Amino acid sequence: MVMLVVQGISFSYGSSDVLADVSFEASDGEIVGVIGPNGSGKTTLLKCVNRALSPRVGTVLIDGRDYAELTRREIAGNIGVVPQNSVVSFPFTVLDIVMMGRTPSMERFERESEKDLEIVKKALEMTNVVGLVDRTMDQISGGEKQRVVIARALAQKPKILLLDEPTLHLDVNHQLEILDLIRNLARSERLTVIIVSHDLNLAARYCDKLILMSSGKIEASGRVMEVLTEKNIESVFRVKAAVTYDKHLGAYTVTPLECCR
Amino acid sequence: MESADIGALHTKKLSLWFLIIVILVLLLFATVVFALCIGPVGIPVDEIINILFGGEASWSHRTIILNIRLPRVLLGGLVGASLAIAGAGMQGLFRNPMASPYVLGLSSGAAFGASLSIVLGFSIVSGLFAVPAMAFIFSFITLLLVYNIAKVNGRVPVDTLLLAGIAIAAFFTALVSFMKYLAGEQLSSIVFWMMGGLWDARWEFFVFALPMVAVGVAMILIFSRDRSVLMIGEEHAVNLRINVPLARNPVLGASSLVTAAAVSVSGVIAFVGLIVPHMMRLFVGPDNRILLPASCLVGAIFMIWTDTLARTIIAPEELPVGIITAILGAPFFLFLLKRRKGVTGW
Repeated sequence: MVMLVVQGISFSYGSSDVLADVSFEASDGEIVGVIGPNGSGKTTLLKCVNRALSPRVGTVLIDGRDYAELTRREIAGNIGVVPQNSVVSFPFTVLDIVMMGRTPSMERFERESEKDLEIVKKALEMTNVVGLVDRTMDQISGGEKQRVVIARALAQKPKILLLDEPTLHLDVNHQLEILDLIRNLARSERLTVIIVSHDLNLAARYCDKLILMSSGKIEASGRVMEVLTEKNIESVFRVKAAVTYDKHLGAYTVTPLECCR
Repeated sequence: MESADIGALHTKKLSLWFLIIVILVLLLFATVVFALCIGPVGIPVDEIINILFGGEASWSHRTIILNIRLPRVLLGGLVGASLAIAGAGMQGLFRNPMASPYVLGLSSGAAFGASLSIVLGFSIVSGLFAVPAMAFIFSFITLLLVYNIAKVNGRVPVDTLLLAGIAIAAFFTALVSFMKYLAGEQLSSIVFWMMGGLWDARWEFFVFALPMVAVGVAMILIFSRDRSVLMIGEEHAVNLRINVPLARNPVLGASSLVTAAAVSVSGVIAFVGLIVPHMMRLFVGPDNRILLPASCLVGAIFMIWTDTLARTIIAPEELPVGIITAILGAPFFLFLLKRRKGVTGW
């Protein structure tokens, strides 16, 4: 089922176009990777989908509804976000942070209900951070922090999960752990997941679909093998690369060779 | 961990918060009563209770308490509460541990206003409120200046706000220096005013400051939850559908209002607004929903005790309370800071 439809959105900061006529669709249970060089508009696209920014033209349909007609609260109930700089250094406890995911659905002075606590508990379990609830954010590792922020996004009970560089600053073990977690969530909860990533190999391995962006436009989109071609990588990233299929992994791998002059 | 445990943990947190507030309210009450006992004439606790709650007491003691000590103690509490909650609010708002109620230069503006009145006798009102009125007006002029200078395309970036505050503060500090240069015999009045003190405490000042502080504190507390989310980052807050300008601007205004009210009746009392929120953050954690009310109450308690010391330590003379807050506050704060080794963040 198609959960997210992005139709011809454009966005500009001042006079320069950051996004121009971007369209794509994503279904439930599907992981879509957004890749592209620095400044190609990936994060801006994510912010437009999240309505942190309002596109100048174009529409976004969430579960068939135009999100311009949705309230803040309804958008928060549909879209959970894990921002890029999600390292929290204040000594909030893990439970505090995950509980904040319930904020959008609560009135200003309302106390968390049994239902809220139940949702928070489920989010903690899904991300395997239940054992950390009473630890503070400055006492846990980078990988654990990232799982906590994902738990907070899940506590919004979203249908769509947006992640901006979720594996940035993580070691290789935690990179795989986070992406395995995200894949399991997409499959078991039928979440629509959009991941912005600079890591072409991880994107190739975990995403069902890729969107390759260049200068605010979609250069190519579709299945991994159609998007991650040597030709596309050379024209968008200005890098000669070898793309090979790894039988052990069952995925394509990209080996950058040299910069194009 | 079971579901019940999450619930239990949550309930435990809320009960702890409630307990902290109850204990602090009781401590504040005890502080007020004991501070009223202390002075040139010692008055026993039971008589204080009688005077406060309409029981038997001698006429002279009643006069001392109701006309001299009570307004001073209550004004001290109000000033301490204002500075502490404004400091906690500003630190959360700017996500900066160095932020204090004076970070936007309000105290420098107030000092200039006060010095205009003290040296040139220039004020919009005469009499009792000549100095406080000018101090109050100039701290608000400072706020408006800083805010409008920092405004870029309708947005007010916090770091620009801080820098504009520093620049405007430097400007007004220079003007105050100029006023001191001109002051002649009035020099000591300016210097004393800037050290901060409550020796002029009167019911009139309390009545003047109370409504502003009450409104300001209420506004700061209303947006506590939003601001806790805002503390972990603006992007997070936007994603959690926090209206960022609405969570930020009223608090900026409210913190400035209570600071201006406090400064106008007590001068520039150092350190309370910086240190009390930090102390409370070490004890109750960073969540604004408990940090702000706890800072407010402890600010009042701290101020009443330091002022009691200020008026008794070299009696019959008295020290400006600003001196005591820094002399006592700084080492105590450093002690706390060194003790929590291994904890990062603030």
